[in-house]
Amino acid sequence: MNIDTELNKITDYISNLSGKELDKILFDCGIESIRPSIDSDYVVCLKKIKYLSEKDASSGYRKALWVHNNIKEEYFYTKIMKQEVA
Amino acid sequence: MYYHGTDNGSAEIIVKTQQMCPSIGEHQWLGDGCYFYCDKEYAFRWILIKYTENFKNKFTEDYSRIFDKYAIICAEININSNRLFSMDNIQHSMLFNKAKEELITNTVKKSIKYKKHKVIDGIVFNFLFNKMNYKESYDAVKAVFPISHICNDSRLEFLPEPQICVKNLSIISNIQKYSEKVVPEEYITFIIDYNSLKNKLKKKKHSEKYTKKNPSVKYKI
Repeated sequence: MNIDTELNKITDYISNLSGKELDKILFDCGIESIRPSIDSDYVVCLKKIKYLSEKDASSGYRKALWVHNNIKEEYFYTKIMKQEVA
Repeated sequence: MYYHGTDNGSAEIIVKTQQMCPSIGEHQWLGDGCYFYCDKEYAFRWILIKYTENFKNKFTEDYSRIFDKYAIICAEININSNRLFSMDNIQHSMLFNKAKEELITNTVKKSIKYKKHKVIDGIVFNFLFNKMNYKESYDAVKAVFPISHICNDSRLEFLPEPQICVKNLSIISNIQKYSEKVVPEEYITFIIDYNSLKNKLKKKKHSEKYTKKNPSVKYKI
């Protein structure tokens, strides 16, 4: 790996971005705590996930689903539900 | 094998489906991905911390109760060394730090919404892997986090915590439940020794900081 070549690519990429474009990239990279667009089916699945967690109280996911730190469980349940539907 | 701590419900589903779920968010130290410890003792420490956080006032030193709520899973990670972005590699480390500097500078200069936000390590890794397409060349990131690092007369006074963040989930295989009903003595010994050494290092760090400000004052550790 040539550091200078790689760094030039990064510098060129960033320098050509407008402020708005840079903000979009920073958002996509997680600069805010919650990123709702992690999965195209994310919003659709949220209600199903909430239902599942309320149904299965022992899972421990009851209250935290809407909180940033549990986005992974939401994403996970999205995968499981897709498998079940399939 | 690599180790991951999680709650029992997740562990059962993960082992059953043989699928890990990525951790996502700005607080993930190595960016989005599935996190594993290289040492099982750290995975145990992680679930011990979670158990204490989530079951306050119920925590005892009865470790079998911890395994009623949490589990350690282990997995094989089929990583080719050429496809590992390692912070032990001087070129990778220098590139990461320069990329971070570039992002921070431009965020301060150009960003409309995030001028005052911190561009932390996880964001830089996400930028490299998702925007600069590093995921085409690398399947995982590895780093050693120095816990309670003191930089004075010794460069070795810290507790190393190596972690790997898998970006390409297809390299994870053979996921199994590792935690045992009966906690081996080595876990208890490790936790006691780890906490003892961490506290000593913290005190020493605090003492040396204070001594630098007040050179006439000497503390015993």
